[in-house]
Order: sequence, then structure tokens, then C-alpha cells
Amino acid sequence: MISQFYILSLRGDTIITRDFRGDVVKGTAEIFFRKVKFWHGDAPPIFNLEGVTYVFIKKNGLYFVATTCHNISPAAVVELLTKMSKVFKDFCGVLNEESIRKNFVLVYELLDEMVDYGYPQTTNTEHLKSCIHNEAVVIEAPKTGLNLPQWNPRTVPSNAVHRPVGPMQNDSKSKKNEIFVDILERISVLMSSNGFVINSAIDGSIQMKSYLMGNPELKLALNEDIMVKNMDLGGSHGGYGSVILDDCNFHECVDLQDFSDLRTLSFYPPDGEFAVMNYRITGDFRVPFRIFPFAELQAPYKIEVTIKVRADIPEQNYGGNVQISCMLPKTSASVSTELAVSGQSAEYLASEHRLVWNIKKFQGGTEAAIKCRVTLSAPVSNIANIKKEVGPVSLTYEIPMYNVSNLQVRYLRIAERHKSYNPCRWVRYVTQSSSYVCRF
Amino acid sequence: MVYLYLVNYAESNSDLAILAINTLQKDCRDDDPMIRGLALRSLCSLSLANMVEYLQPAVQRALEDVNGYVRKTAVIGVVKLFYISPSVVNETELLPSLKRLVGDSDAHVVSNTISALEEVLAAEGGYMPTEEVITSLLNRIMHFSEWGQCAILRLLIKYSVANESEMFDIMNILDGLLKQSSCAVFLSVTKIFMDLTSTRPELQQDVLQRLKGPLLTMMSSSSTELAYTVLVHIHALVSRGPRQVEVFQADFKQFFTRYNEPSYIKQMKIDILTLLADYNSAEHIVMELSEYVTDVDAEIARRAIRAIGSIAVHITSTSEMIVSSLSNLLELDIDYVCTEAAVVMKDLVRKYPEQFQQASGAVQKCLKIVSEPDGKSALLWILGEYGLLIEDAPYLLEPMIDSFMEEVGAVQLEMLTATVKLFFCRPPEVQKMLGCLLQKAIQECTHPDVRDRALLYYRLLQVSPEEARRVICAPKEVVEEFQEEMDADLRDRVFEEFNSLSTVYKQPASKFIQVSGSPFVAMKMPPPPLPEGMEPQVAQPKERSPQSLETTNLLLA
Repeated sequence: MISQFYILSLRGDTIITRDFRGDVVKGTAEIFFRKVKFWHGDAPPIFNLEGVTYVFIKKNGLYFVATTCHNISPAAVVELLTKMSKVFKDFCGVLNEESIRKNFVLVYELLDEMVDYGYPQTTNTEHLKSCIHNEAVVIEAPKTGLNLPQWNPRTVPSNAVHRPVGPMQNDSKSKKNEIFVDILERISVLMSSNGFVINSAIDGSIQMKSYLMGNPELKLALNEDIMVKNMDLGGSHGGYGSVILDDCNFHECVDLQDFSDLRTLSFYPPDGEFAVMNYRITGDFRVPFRIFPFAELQAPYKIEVTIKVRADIPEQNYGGNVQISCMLPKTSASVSTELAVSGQSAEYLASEHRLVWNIKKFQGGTEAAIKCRVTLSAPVSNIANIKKEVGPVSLTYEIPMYNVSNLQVRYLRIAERHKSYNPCRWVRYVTQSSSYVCRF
Repeated sequence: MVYLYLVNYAESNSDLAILAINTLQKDCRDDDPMIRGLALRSLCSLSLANMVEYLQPAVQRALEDVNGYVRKTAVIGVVKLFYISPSVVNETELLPSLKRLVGDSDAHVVSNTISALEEVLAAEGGYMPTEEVITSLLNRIMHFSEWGQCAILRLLIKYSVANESEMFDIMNILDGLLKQSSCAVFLSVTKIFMDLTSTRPELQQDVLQRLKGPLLTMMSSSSTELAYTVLVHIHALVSRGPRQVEVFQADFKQFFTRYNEPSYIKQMKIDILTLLADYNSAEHIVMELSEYVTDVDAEIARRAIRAIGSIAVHITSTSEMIVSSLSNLLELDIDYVCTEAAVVMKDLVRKYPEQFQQASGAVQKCLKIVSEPDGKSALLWILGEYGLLIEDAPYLLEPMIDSFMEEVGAVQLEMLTATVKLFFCRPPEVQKMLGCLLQKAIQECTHPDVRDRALLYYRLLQVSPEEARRVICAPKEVVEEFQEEMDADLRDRVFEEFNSLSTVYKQPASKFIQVSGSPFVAMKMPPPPLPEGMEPQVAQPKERSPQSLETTNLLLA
């Protein structure tokens, strides 16, 4: 199937390379990198050069590339690359250039087990654990995500999830029984200037990372009144406030017998990180942030842009690291901004003609506004013309412990082994923006 | 790790490698199955011609090993051996043992065996499974890993069903696979469903309806690369014909692009939106596409405008609205927008001449802005055709004639024709300009086509202006349909190779595969022989030509 596999850094250095079949010429790594770097626009993930097809994914500052000279299924190769990068991440803890370099012996061993002569054998972390004998060298995970102080002992910093999955460890000294469940929702919204939502969608996924000893069976229960559009589900459903999913799909290890009656999923979690369920909702829902943009022509050379943002979430929640960016006309010469409250910052990036407004913590139920005066280098007669060049306003944010769709984990039961077996369960709801845009 | 080192350098230092063989052979008999497997894999990867006599017994023994891991490695070892020396595999016991392993109890072994047999027997068209083999594999399919499932599904594509109940059985079993989150498996199942239902269009439509939901979920929730692959396949499905378009039409909003997507995804989505437009959705789609015109990326803006144009051509009812939105676009001061809009306007006006009134004002304005040759040719054509309706036509033409020599050949040709047409409509204003132009074209221009055409016009005019007018200003019929982008036959062939690279490149595999004897060219098996007394189920042969014409007409209706 695939002929070669390599991992390149963003600068083009080959970190890992492996030739499986020997039927593609050597030196493809350089050819690939040169092609991708000089592509007009974004290089598509699958392209063909002189009879050799290059398939790649870009992840965490690394290129994972596979080459082949046969007519294989593109989806299979992209899935293979994605799964391989996930396995590397599980075994090394974090996925970046340094961790791969430090653990290259482990990586080569994994590669050998995962793909034989170009045919994928197994990409299941659980399975691989029994075949791998090397241990990972753990490196410091970079601090990402919210840097807010955690006073609550019941919450754990997010880098606890970066521990590597190791080979079978018989000692229990370092093993804490923990399981992390993340309900991650990514919201895409397209709004027009009068607040009317043109298009909205939620892409949700329940991710799990399990560090449980032994391999107990887990039962995860969701709200009782979930309805899925194309599935015939029994039990109670409908009514106000119920969750209606357009579609969902499950990981291969999940047993769906009880899903239709009780909305529970039972499964033996594989080691490492995996997505139990992916779902999609396109119905109407309350968008977390409402944007009201306004542009006014004050003089032929001056326009004033006002953007008001309102957080439509409960007061105890807040949006973290909110960044609002707005494109300004190409003829903008200088921009001055006026902010009402401290704790926010705004800057204008002249090279991209973009105004960036950062709000560290956006409390629920409050409103924030920015007034921005733009001086143009060319006069403008008609506001309609310049309005086309202003905007759209796009928003990126992360709202912890809140989800828009109201999908909730009712309980997570672990089949108990002994009385002293008391694992910790960490459940986290995060709402993130995927493409949150408002037009003028 | 040591093994890896050996393998990498064995090709260059073959004598040294031979020394290692002894150790590896001993390891192949070790008690621990992991070591046996590892040693065997390294032994086989050494790919040295003179080692075949050591390899063959080791592989043969391992094919019957008790442990599944060793067996699975041995199976791939057979393939490696095949590339070193095909005769060894074909003539010894290796091939029959391999065939026996298809019924093995370990799922990994079976999936490797299927792939191995495909490769080893590639010259004969690959492994041809019998009905029992297929049934037993399908019954166990849930136990396989996703790669094993892909291998089985690849085999299933080649198998032709004997009758309808078997087809439904297969579809029921495969239905269970659709719940999974693996893209590769899902697309393989889609291909099989499409193949099985290719003779029953209504059934195919129902099937597609069922597949649509998960396809859309996969498109929006996965990484951009997977989303791109799914989009490419959705595009292939949607371009099959109106039935397929109907299935996806209700969800056209899903294909609106998001702000932060890479350009290849945006382009695919615009293409799909163009295909999905119909009476109800066209207005929304055109409004959305107009917003993309102001995108930062020029390529996306161009595509969006072209898409608007093709929607206008296909769907008659929207032409008025589109012409007005195009006129708005022409007023934007961006040059590439104007160029594209001008080209699209020209095509529209050819199809809907009555819409021209609205567009005339905008056309005049953008003449000043357009700089690219395509745009200029389009505008010149419009000026020539509708010279009577545009008041200032001669005066607009004059500065262009002055800069005649700096223009590209295509623009010069168009300018000649346009001026001559204008002359016939309004002789007094244009005559002097025409004379000047013809003189420049004949005497100073170096482009042969331009000179020849200018000479032709001059001579025609000399002989008889009336005749010239008849020739040059012949009334045109309203254009009913435009040529399809891709030949329908070619499209069918590419669709047969759905779920392979052909879908991404939109070309049949023979065009881009340079390796001969590739095992991945799927060939359909002959249908199994029927027992006595049964009516043969003859699949209607695909009558290519009339069907493709029908599709073409339906799309353009």
C-alpha cells in the first residue's frame, strides 16, 4: 500500500524516515517539502508528482507524509496517518519535534509494528502496548490552554492528560486510577449584521483518556431525552429543552445495545486517548456570543467602526482568551482604538489589515465594546463600497464548563473490582469556537 | 533496533548480511513468539537474492506456527519473497498454504492474507473469492480491525452478486459498519452500495439518503485533510446526476465555507454548492457566493464569481437576480473581480440577451478598471454586440484603439471584430477609428492572425459593405446549452474507481499510475454459474451514450 513514510519538521528537516517497499525513488522528502513550501495557497493533502502520490497531514508543527505509487483509497491513507500520529502522541506523552527526536527508538519500533511492508497492521494503542518494549522519555509539556489559577482541589491542570501511555506496568506505585472525560463542542456560526443567524452548527465529541488499572468495563450514560434524527430510539424523548442530534457515530469498541432504551454506552476503553462519540447538531440553539458590528463614514478619509459583543451565557461562566478580529480595508493608513474597560487589549496588524481585540476573561451576561477610527489613504465616496472591505468579524474563544447543546454525562460507572478500587473521574465540558463569523 | 540497522544496510553490504542470517534463523526458532516474529520480519526484509533458499523454509514453517503474530508476519514475508523471486512462491507449497490461511481464526492473519494474495496473484487479476469465502468473511467482519475491514471490502468490490436476496444480505451486514467513526471503512461501504444498486436507481437514492447524514458529520468533525477527502467523494457523488443532487440539496447550508478553512476545502465547497443549486436554494447560494467574492484570497473570489455564472446558466429563473448582483460586483473597484465578472457577464448575455439592459451601466464603468486580457476581450465583445444600446460605445472604444499595439493577440482580435461590428451600427462615428485601426493592424502588427483578419475585413469592406455586414454581423441563435466540463463517459469511468485516488484527481487510474501490474486495479469477477433451471438475472447493460445525453439535458434543463 504505502511505499514510504516520513516525519518532517516545519523547516523541512527529516526527523523519521522509513522506506517500506522500495518501489518509489529515494529523496522524495526533499521533493515533497519544496513542492509544499512553494505552493500557491494551501497545498491540498493529496497530490501527484511524476506518478508518485504524496499524502500528508500537518499536525503540531510536524508533517506526516506517506508516498505511494498505487491507486489506493485516499481516505485509508489519511486515516492511517492520523491514527499513527495519535499513537505517537499516546506513547510519547506530547506530540512535537522534540519528543519525537528524543524517542526515535520507540518511534521506529512503533512504526515497525504498525505498518509491515506498507500494509497497516494495527494502530490500536492497547494492542501495541503488548508488543513494544521501549519506554518513553518524557519531556516537559508546554503550557497551553487557560493559565488561570486553579484553587479548587477538585480540578486538575490540563497537562495531567499529557502523561505517556507506557508498556504494561506491573507496579502500582505510580499508577493513579484516573479517567478523563472531555465533552468538547466546537461551534460554527455565521451571522449577518442585524443579528440574524444565517448558518449554525455544533460539532461535538466526547473524548476519553483512560489511565485505569486492569481494564474494567465502563458505562457512560447521557441525557435520557436525547433524540437522534435518523435513528429510531425508544425511551422518552422530545419535549422542551431536549437535545436533538442530527447524527452521531461511535468508536468501534462501543456496544450500542442499551443506547436506544437507556442512552448508555458500554465499552472497554482502549488505552490512550480516543473519541467515544462524535455528533453534529444543526438545529437552532442559543449562540454564546452575539456580535453587533457597525461602520460609519465620518469624512471622506475617515470611517468609524464600532463592534459590540454580548456574552449570552450564564453569569457564572466566562469566556477565556477571547479574541475578536476584524478585517479592515486595504487602504487603511492608520487606526486608533478606544476601549472602555481595562483587562482588554487591542492592536492593529498593518501587514494583514486586521484589527485584533483580546479579552482575557469575558464574564457571562456582560457586554464589551470597541470603537475604532480608521484613517484611509484614499478617499471614499460611498459607504456601501467600503463596507464590503470591512469585516467579517470573527471570534475565537474557549468557554470552560459550559456547553451549548445541553448534552450531559449523567453518570460514568466503572465495573468495580475490589472495594478499595476507587478511581478518580474527571469530567470537563469545553465549548470552543470553530468558525464564528459575523458579517457587516 | 539492531534488526533495523541490519535491514537498512543489507543492500549495500550483502556479504556481511549473510553472517547475520545464522543468528536470525536461530531466533526464528525461539520460544518467545515476539522474537520469532521479529526475527522473521527482519529476515524477510533483507531482500537479498542469494538468500532465497534460507528464507523459503523459514517462511513455510512460520505459516503454520501456533501463534497468530508469527503467522501474520509470515504472510507478509511471502509477499516480500515474491518480489525477490516470484518463481519460489508460485512453485513451492507457499501459495497453497497462503490460500488456506484465508480461513484462519486470527483476524489479523486473515486480513494480511487477503492483501498478500491480491499482490501475489496480481498478474491474474488478484484473488477471486468464492461465495463461501465471502460469506464467512462477512459474518466475521465485525471482529476485524478497521484495516482488516478495508481489505475485506476491497475484495467484496470484485465479487458479483448472484441474485437480489444476496445483495440485500450483504447490505444488511454492512449496515452495521456504518456506525463507526472510521472514514476509510465508510467510504468503502459507500462504494459497494453504489455498485450493488447501480441497476436500481430508486434504491440507490434511498441508500444515498441513509449515507448522507454520516457523510456530513464526517465532513465537519474531522481534521481538514479527512474533510477534504470526504468532500472530494461527495462531489463525485453529487455530480452523478439529478437524483443524487436531490439527496444532498436540502443540506446545502452545510457546504457554506468557514472562515478559517484552507483554500482547497473552500474551493471544493464552492464547486459542490454550484452543483446543488436549484430553484429554491439558488438565491441563498448566490448571496453566499457574493460574500465570498470579497475574500482575501483572490483565487476563491474568482471561483465564486465563476460559480455564480454557472448557476445562472443552469437555472433560468435566477438570471435576473444574478445579473443584478453581478452588476453590483462590477462596481467594486477590485480588478480581478471585474475581470471575472465581465467574463461571466458575457456568457450570461449570450444565453439571456434580454437581460442586457440591466448590465449596460455597469459594463461601462468597469472598462476603466479591467486590466487582464480575458476581461478586456469579454467587454469588447459586449461592446461590439450591443453597440446600439450603449450610447458611448465609440468613445469607450477610442482609447483602447489608441493602445492597440500594447495589447495581447487575443484582445487585438476581439478589438478588430468589435470595431467592425460597431461600424455597421453607427458608421459616422466609427469610420475614422476603423480606418486607423485597420491600418495599424495591417502594417504595424506582427501577430499573423491579427493581420490576416484585418486584411480580410479590409477586403470585404472594399468589395461591398453590405456583404461584409452579412458575414460579420450574422444573427446569432440564443445559446441553449454550454458544453459540459468533463466528458460524461470519462466521468462514468472515474466513478467506477470511487474511493481511490481517481476520485481526487478526477482521472482514471491509467492516467497517473505508472507502475504496471498494480494489484489495486479492481476487476469485476464474472458472475457465478447458476444452478439448472433458474432464470439468469441479466443486469441491464449500461447504454452509455443515450444515458449520458439524458443526464446532460437534465442538468441543463
